Parts: sequence; C-alpha cells; structure tokens
Amino acid sequence: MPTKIRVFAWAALGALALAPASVVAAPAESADVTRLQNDVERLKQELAAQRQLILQLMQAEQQRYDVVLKYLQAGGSPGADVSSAFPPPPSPSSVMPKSGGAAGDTGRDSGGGSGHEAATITGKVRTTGGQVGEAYVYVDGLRSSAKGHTVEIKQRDKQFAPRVTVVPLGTKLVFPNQDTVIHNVFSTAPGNSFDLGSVKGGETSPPIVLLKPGPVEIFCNIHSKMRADVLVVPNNHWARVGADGSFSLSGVPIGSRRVVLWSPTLKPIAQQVDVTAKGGTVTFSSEATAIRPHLNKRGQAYGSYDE
Amino acid sequence: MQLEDGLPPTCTRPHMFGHKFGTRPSGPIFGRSRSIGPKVTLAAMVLAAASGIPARVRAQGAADEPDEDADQSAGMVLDNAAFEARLAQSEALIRNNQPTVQLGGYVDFGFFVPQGNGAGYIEDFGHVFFPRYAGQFGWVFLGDILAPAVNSRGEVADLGPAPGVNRYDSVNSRGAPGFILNEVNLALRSALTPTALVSASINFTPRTGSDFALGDAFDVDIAQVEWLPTDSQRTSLFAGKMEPVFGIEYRDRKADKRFGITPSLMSRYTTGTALGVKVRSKFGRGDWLVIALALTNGSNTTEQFHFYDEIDSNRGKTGSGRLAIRLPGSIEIGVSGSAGPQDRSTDNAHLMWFYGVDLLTHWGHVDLKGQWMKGHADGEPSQNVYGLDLHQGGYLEMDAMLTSSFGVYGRGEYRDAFVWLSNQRAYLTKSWRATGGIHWVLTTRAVFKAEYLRNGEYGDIPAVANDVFTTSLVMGF
Repeated sequence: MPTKIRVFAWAALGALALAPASVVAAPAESADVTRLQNDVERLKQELAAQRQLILQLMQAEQQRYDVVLKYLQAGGSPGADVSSAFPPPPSPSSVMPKSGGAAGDTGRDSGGGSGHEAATITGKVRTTGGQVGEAYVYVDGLRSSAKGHTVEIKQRDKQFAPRVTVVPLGTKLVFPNQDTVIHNVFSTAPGNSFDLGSVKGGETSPPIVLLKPGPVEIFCNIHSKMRADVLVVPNNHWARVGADGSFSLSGVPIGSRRVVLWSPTLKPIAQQVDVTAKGGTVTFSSEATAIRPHLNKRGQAYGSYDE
Repeated sequence: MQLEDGLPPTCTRPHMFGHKFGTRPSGPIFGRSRSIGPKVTLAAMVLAAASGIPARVRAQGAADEPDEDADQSAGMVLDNAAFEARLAQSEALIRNNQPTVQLGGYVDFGFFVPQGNGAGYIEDFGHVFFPRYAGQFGWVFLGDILAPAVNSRGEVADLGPAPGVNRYDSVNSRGAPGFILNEVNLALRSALTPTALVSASINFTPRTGSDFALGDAFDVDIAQVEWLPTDSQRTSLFAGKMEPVFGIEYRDRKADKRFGITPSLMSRYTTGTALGVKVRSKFGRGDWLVIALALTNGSNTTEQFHFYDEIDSNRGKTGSGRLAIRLPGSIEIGVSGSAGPQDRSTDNAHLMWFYGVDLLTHWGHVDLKGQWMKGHADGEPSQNVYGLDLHQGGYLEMDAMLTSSFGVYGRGEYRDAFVWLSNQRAYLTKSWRATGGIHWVLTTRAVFKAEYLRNGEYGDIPAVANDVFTTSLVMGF
C-alpha cells in the first residue's frame, strides 16, 4: 500500500510541477501572449513555492515523527530550552512574497525594489569586551532553496570539528565519530532539535537536516565540553566577518534588507539596511559574551565528573 | 522509486501529465491549471504524508532544488506557521513528559581461570621464611590476599584457608575455573532541579549460599546529591555516599567505565565510597586547576578490606583532598592526601593517613595513567583493629585503541606493605603484577574484555601461584 500511494503521490506531484511546461507548449492566441507569459511566470512561482512548502511540511512532520519516535524508544529525551536571544526567523508570510510579485522580490521589500537588481552591502563590526572572533553576517528575510549539500561535523579527540559552521537551509549534516569512544550528539534548538543516540567510534549516524534558520547549538550528551555552533542561513547572502571587523555581502537584491550579525561569542544583533543600486552600508556594535555551560539532553546539568 | 536520488522518473516525463489526466494544454487550460494545481498539490501532499514519504524526503528535497539562489516568491496555500507551532508543541510535550528518574546500569558476566588454589598468599609455617616474626605474630602470611582478582569489584578467586578468622569468601572457587555473574548494577538518577542531581548505584552480586541461606548480596555504593550552585557549573557540592577525591582510579572503578577488568593493587586504598560531604571546583582557563575536598566518616578504602567504616565508630572524621593541574597536551598531574582517625577504632588517638601523586594523559587513542602512594594506620590491638604500613605502591597503565572497536592495555604495578592485627597475624607483601588484556567494543552497549594477571613476589618472599585469566562481558541497559 505505501509503495502504490507513494507512486501515485509523486506522480501527482510531478505532473503538477510539469503542468506549466505543458501549458507553455500549447498554442496561444497572439493577443494573449503577454498575459500568458505573465501567468506562466506567476504559476511557476506558485508551483515552486508550493513544492517548497510541501517539502517543508513533510520535513516538519518527519522531524516531529523522529522526535516522538525517539521519545517512545528512549522513554523520553526532552531537551532544555537553550534558545538564545537570537532574533526569531521571519515568518513564512514575511519571506514568501505576495502572489504576483516579481521574481526575487520579497515580503520585506514592500515595494521599493525591482528584485532583479542586486548590490553589495559593506559593513563593519565593532565589539566591546572582546574580539570579533569567528563572526558571520547574513541577509534575513530572503529564502533560497535547499542546495542538497552535505556538511560533515566530525567528532575527534572529544571535540567537534569544525566547531563553527554556516550552512544554507536544507543542508544535510552528518556527524562521523572519529573517536574511539561513544558519542551522543544532540541539539535542543527549537525547530531544529535532534538526538542521534549513542554512536560508536568509527561510525556515522544518518544525516539530519536543519529546517529552521537561526543558530543551532550542538552538544554531546556524554562529554559536556563538546560543543559545535551551526548557523542555518535562509539564503546564500552571508559572509564571514574579517579579523578587522569588516565584511561584504554581494549580490543582495535591492530593497530594504535585514542584516544579522551572529557569532557564538557575540551578542546577536540585526539591523535594517536600505540597499540601493549603489549598495548599502551597515555598522554593528556588539558586545562579547562568554559561552555558558549547557545542560544535557534531558535538561539537567552534566555533573562535575563528566568530561 | 528512487526517492533518495531525486524525484521519481514519472516527474521527468511531460507526457505523463496529459495521459494521466486526459488534458492537453490549450488556452483555457490556464484557468484549470490555477484551480487544479492547489487541489492536486494538497492531494499529493496528503498522500505523500500518508505513504511515509517524509521518511525519505530529506535527501529528495535537498537534491531537487535548483542551483541558483531562487529567492522564491509565491502565495501561501497553507499556513506553514501552524505546522511550526505543531512541531513546537510536540517538542514541548516531550520536554514536559520526561521521566523523573533515569534508569541505567549493566550486567557484568565473566569466566575466570585461577592458578593454584585461587588464593593470593601462603602461610609462613614455622616462620621458615621470616624467622624475625617468630616472637611477634602467631600467624604470618606471605603474598597479597587481594592479588588474584577476577572482576572489577576486586573480588578474588579465593580467600584461602586462613586460620583464626571466619571470612565471607564471596567467590570461593578453590582454584576451579568457572563462570561468574560479577555484578548487576542498577543506576538511578533524578534531578531535583536542573542543577541538583540525585543519583544512586546499587550492585547485586549473586553468589554461593551456605547453610541453607542464599549467598546473594547487594550493596549501595553511591547514594548522593550533587548540586552545582554557580552559573559556571564549575563547582559541585556533594552529600551522601559518594565517590572519593583521592587519586584517579575511582573514576573508572565500575565495570562499565574501566578499560580493563581488574582494579590495581592500589585500588583498595582509593576507590571505596564513603559517607560525608565533598566540594569540587575547577579554576582557570580550560579548568587547568582542580581542587577537591571531602569530609567523610572514614577513609576511601574498599568495603571488603580491613580498613573501612561505613558508619563511623569514632567521633573524628577523615579529611581528604586532591589538587590537580592540567597541562597542555592533555596531561593531568595530581597530588592527593587523606588523614583521620583510624577506621574501626572507637577513639581518635590513632591516625590513619595516605598520600600520593597521580598522572593522567591522553594522546590520540592512547591513555596513560599512573599512581604512586604511601600510607599508614596505627592499628589498635585492644579493639581488634588492623594496622597498616603501606611502604609504597603504584601502577602505570596504558590503554590503546588500535581500531575504533578494538583495544589493548597493559599495566605494571607493585605493592610493598605490611598489615597486622595485634600479635595474632601479619601479612607481609612485596608483590608485583603485570597485566595485559584486550578491550573489544561489540556495540554501543556491550564490551568484551579479557586479561591475564601475572602475579609475582620479590624481597625474599617465595612465589605464590596466583595468576589469573579472566574475562568480562559488560552489557549496559
């Protein structure tokens, strides 16, 4: 039964996705060409958005299934609320532009930009109480598709490597255990929580996909000093801040954009920037924050004898 | 359908749409497309969800997207926020339904082959070997009573036919090889608050009964609360029956933590759990300085040994502490000490003390650990309390994982001690031991270990046939 339904479902989904192509191939009245082309464009956008939505819904459901299944199998694996003061990701209504809008236009762009033109945002980060460290900036409010990339975060010498990673939304993460001890990688980040369970040295658990933009703190439930910070960005408009605090974001669609500064050791901060054809500039002033101890996957302290 | 590799083949063939639904594109079809599209999408979504597509949708979704940055825009068909809210509710549901007590533990099952009669000592009949003790002690024994250990509890293959005492010989193999259920451990843990943890460890040891009574026993080796009062969580306060602070071997005293099987010859002085209070704090960048202090009823000798008081019989308490420095390169060096009234003595007049140094390093897949120590207890003849002169003793152990699942280890150690009870009996020990073994990680919850203990004597003490081959299958739950 599942195979039949899956075939039918995917057939329906595929047919729907290909409908505009068929439509485009059809003969059309010359008087309606312009209107038809506009309709085709709009339908393409609708379909792409709907497909994206379907994927997101399925992924959300999958994650929920995973969490519930893990809970049932483990007798409960709750996580602590370790959400930071990071600005919340935009709501779907804010990242999904209104129907009929031009390609590349966004809900954040309330009518100023054409969406086809892009420019560069340059800026500077100033910090108090510490250095910039490994910091990143990205443009919020624009949503790109999943890229199908896979990123490895290794466990080696009871540490994650790399310790800080930026990935686009939808990127697959795998966690090969290159240690000779067992690790239990987990995150309690709201919307991105997962628990890989116990994984032997030399083994790699199945990949996970982070579905919600924002920071994701990843830990080991066995070794309290293991920590990785992953920033899930909603698009490809992100850059690492240089050691001198400068950065440059190229190819940003013109309009009013929200630029976010993030670092595991800086207080997150966001600013609105008007991007014109000449570009835009922004200056961040953030303060350094110490990385605080975290709780285990059950929301409890590790205890003093955990590594 | 190869969902893992992208969309199914049917989605790549344009004619399928027309054949399936009998619709050929034409001008008016646009109106139908707008109306049919969402319906079909919904139907597909429902069917897909019902058919389990989500289980594989991750890879599909990632591979199906265009390469360029789309910055897509389109109208919303369903409220995605509602699904996010549902996900958040599911996560909250799990958080709020966490069990109040976590259960854990393991089963440790093994097979051992002792040498000789299984005992680690011989009697110096007629004071032949050490005539200088002829007028001091009625019985003199040579060797180490705890040398032929068969498991992580430190139980020996046999306690031997020692005259003048009635001991509980828990294994009592009399030299025969055999299977043994070393221990069934039950660990419980609960959080009073996120930073106040209550834990307990109970060990069940099925053994041979006698005189129509069961020989099975259980012991509670941990029953404590740990509170981490600071935001940094670098300070812990303990109360209850808890781990020692002396040395490093207590950290892997349990079978599921120990790389090998048997404890070192020094473990009898450092791995016993005692009742009291304790504070442990880390300081500096990278926790380079660790200080631990404890005040307990008695010493940290093991419960089976001569010098252990679970409930104190004197008013004085035993203080112990350890100061450790962590150096670059995963090197930890520590000094430990403890002092207090003699265990099992009813007065505070007799001192019992230990001190030592320890080393712990970690290089890649190799761990090196070692300890050296001395100790003394006056003893009290009138109260039948043993005396001890631990002249010195120590061990050096190397654990190496050759692959992710298979490791080997070796340990060299010695113990120079003299234990006596008034003028009745004395144990003279000048022992060395070489241990080698394998460590095989079967699964994340099962480890098989096997080791050989070569016990020897030096300093005019005749050889005692007390080598042991032992195995252990530790299965966690």
